[in-house]
Amino acid sequence: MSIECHNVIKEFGNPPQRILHDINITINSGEFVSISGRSGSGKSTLLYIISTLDSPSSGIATIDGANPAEMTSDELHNFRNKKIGFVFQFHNLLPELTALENVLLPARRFGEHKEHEAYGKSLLEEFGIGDKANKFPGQLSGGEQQRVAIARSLIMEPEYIFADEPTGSLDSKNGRIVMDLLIKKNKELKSTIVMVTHEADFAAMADREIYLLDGRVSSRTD
Amino acid sequence: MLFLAIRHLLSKKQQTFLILLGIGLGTTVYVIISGLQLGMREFLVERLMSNTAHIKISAKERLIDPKDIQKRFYPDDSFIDWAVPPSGLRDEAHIQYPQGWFEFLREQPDVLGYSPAFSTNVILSRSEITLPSQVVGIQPNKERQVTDIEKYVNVGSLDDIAAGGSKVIVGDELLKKTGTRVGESIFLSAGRGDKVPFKVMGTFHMGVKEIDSTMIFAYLEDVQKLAKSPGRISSISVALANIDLAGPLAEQWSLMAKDKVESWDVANANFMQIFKIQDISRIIITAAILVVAAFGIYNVLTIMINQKKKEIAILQSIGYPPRMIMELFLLQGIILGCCGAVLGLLIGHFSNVLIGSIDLGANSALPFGNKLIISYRPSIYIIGFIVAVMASIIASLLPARAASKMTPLQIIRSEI
Repeated sequence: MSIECHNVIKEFGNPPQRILHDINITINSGEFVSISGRSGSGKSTLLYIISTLDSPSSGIATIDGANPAEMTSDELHNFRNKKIGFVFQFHNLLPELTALENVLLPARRFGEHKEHEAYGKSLLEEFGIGDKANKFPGQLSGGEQQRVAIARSLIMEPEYIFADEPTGSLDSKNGRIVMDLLIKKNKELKSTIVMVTHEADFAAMADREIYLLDGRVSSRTD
Repeated sequence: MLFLAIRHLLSKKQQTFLILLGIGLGTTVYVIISGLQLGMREFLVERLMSNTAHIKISAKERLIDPKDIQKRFYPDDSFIDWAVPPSGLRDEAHIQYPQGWFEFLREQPDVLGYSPAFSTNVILSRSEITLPSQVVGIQPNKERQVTDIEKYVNVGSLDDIAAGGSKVIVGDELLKKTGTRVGESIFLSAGRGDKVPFKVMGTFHMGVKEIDSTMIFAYLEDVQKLAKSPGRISSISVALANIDLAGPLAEQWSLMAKDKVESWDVANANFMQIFKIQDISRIIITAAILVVAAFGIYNVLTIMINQKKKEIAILQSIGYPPRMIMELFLLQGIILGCCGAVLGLLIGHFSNVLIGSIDLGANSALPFGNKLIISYRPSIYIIGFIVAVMASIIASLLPARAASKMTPLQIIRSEI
């Protein structure tokens, strides 16, 4: 199953301002794709549309063969829970939960956190923060917090992982660690990863790069 | 969601504590006020109203009307200017035709029993001591069908005066004042005759100072003889099979005679009125406090939701639907309500135990001794709990609903 956009247009405001112009893309299953572009090019808007968080003003965006706009609220949230993992740039973790509890939060949705606990711990070990499992986010560095967030996005072994500027708030060393983890998991789990980034180096590390210029798919010229 | 709700509350300990205190305080005040008011009410109902018959037929006091006299003596409408107009009671109040009432009451299917009584003010004397008191003449066999007086006879029995023969049962406080013991005699004088000796057969204690220190029970005919008013009846107490009929029957019977016919609730209308005022004041005070506490919950949750916007976005993006977001904040309101209510009930209960144990001194003006009577009836605690929790749920509904309406994208965009 893949992600497909057919003539996707997104407009905001009144009078409507067009952010995305007639986007037609296909992201294949297991692919690691980066969406890059300058600020205001519409890359995050495109990510939110293909990741079910937003819907297009016109056109169709399907994921896993389904159109999120046609799902009920429960179906949509179940779909997100079971098939999608999110990593955001900021505001990633719940401050009142420990690292491990944050990782297990998606599993807690259906009371499956006990079954997933061992996997959660192994992910934290694998990411080099096994000893921080019982620490609260406030006690972790930015890089460690982002690794916890990636572990959380992987806990349900989702088919799709969407990352919005996952390295944006990190230094280059931690940014590299996060990128390596994403690439590794893409290879291991065959999850489809779509990552928004404005850093050309990281964008180039993906299997394929979609470059947006003023809301249109373009080829990188810089 | 319970897990997360508890974590949210624990992460804001100070806010949580203050809100718990607010709800707790509201509940505490409710328990204390209810305990005091209902304690007093239970006492009054038990001690005063249980001695009141379902229906009481009593004599109407009739005043002399100068116009009546004028008509009788000067029927030709001539102008009379009284130097001193006639005034005062026509005679001592008594039921005009008691025999008629007895016959009527015997025929009534709803009447379980009736008891005639005659009461008069007397002077009690014993050696050098004279005390004003009231002697009530009853027929014990009939009286026990209509009131619970017998329950309060602590020495002797009502049967001891049933055969007549100048015997009395005296309020224990009154007997103590005269220095008389059971078995000895006291003298009663009704004002229009000599002092008559009466043998004290026992005492009663109703727990109401006004009654225990002034009242004497004797056989009906003995009292009539003492007051030189043979056959006179001042009241008839009636017991009904169904107390709910008291009002309508009293109204119906009052049309049949000139005597005053009152049902128990009308006779105790002042108490009923006090109870109503107490209820209203209790509800207003408690409502005011709970409204303040509810606003506290509303404010705290609204602030918390603003602070937790990012978390709401994360939760929705990882599959928690709006109804679970609503549940998360509603649960916090319920937890605050339940814990605050339990805290308030405990503080209220122990405060009442403390208040109930305070000795107000032997000379307190209370009608029931030197300690306040507190009610601990379960309904106070159940109502207090339900009201506190309901107030909390209502207060958390709006913020919880607002949180559930947020979408992850709205939050993410507002954060950028």
